[in-house]
Amino acid sequence: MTSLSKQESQHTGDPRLAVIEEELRHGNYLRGDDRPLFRILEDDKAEVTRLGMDLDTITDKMRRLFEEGRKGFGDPVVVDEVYEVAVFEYRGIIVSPWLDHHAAPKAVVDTRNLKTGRRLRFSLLSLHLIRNYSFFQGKGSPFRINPRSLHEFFT
Amino acid sequence: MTQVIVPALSIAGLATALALLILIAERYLMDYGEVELTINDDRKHRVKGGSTLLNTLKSESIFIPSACGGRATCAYCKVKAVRGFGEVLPTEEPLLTKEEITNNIRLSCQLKVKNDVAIEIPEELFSIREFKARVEAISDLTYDIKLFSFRLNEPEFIDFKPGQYIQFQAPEYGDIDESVYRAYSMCNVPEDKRTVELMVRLVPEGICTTYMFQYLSVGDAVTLTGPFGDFYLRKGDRRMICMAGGSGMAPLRSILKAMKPEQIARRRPIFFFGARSKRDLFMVDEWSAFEREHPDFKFVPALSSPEEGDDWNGETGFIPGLVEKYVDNVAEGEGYLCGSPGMLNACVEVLTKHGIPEERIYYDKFE
Repeated sequence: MTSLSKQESQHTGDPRLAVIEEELRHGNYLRGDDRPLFRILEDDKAEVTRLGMDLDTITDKMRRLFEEGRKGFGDPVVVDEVYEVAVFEYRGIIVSPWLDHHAAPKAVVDTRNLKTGRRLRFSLLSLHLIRNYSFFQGKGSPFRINPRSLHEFFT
Repeated sequence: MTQVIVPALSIAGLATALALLILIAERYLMDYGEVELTINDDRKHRVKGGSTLLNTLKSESIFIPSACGGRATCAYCKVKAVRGFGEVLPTEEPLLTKEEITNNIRLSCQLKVKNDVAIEIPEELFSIREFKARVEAISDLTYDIKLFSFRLNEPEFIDFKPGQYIQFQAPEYGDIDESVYRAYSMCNVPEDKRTVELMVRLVPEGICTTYMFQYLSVGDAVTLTGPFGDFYLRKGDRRMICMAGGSGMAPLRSILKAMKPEQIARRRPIFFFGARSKRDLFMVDEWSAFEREHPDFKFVPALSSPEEGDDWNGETGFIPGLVEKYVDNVAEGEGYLCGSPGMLNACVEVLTKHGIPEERIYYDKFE
């Protein structure tokens, strides 16, 4: 199974997407969301476009918050005088459900924008899935990030 | 619009059906019969063909470490393929070095046993067993770390080196419809061969730890596989510089508690244990008692963010920053580490900066 590119993943009829959808449902990434995967992807993509979000730039910022935040070993660290970040790292890996042979280290990033008070919580796997597949997870997934919330957090 | 969508969906549906058909045919219709699996040149097994090498070995009670469930991600399940397997697969390539490919090292989770095959694996893997056990006790160490004690039933005894780990199998539960394995270091000493004790920290939304914290009760049956790992006490007289945080205390507790008094006197172990605040500290009394019992052992707990009301007179800050203060001639020592990847990196950095070569710094990465 090869990984799907962003463009491919948006193609509603790709049979590989059906296999990935099964994997995602199996792993609870679509918890509480009855929409088919292609619809979830399309709806979030539409929101991303509406908001003019550049997911490469945004996930670069998320990655940087992780890298800076992990220096606190779980204690909050202030980054760029704007973001308070606490990174909780655990031993082990989480295998990407996108069947792309990616394994994300287990880490949860809790961050607060000190200027707006908005909070953002993400895992390194969420970051991978958003960056590579524009996949923000199903509505009831514990690590679902609403594109609008993500956009507002960084603006 | 409908004129476009209907044909597109029909083609997609047909392609999906074909893909599924191939998968079903592969799984249920292809019969490879019985084949011969030769291990290390002298162990011959008659096995049913068609499964992955990893699963075939498991069915013969030979357990190869694997952390990703056979998805070609963790790269733990490497074996030497001597004969009977084809070219390196695209799914294996990213996880193998050029040298490994040259030496026929392969991922056992990706190789299918379809004909007579031969492999080589380390002899110590033959001592790995699957254990049926029962939960004997569960206690809180902190608000997010629990101590689990398991009594082995079948087989009844385990031989392990202090510092090694075991894999715990979480079964299907709640919304989780797949069994998963996770690795945890044993924190007890190996003298009690019928017991396995694990310190487990709750991972938010973690499949296995959620099961252990919310579903597992005293008396429940569990499955454990092991022992695994190269993290154990090395021979010699070098001073031991031990560093851990949170549930990373587990293998160091096993190693230090298993040492003989004369060994402790010779190796003069010092154990730096990091926690955020007092509520993250545990077993301090146990370690203080161990200090009194062994004057050459030192326990140094440190809080990185003591809370108001913690009434803390001990060390503060991150543990890598304390090494210089407590250890003379660090370069002559030996590092034993366990903790989160970030903490491990920081500890390795400080120990190498003080002159300990990386090959004398030991830890399990669990990555």
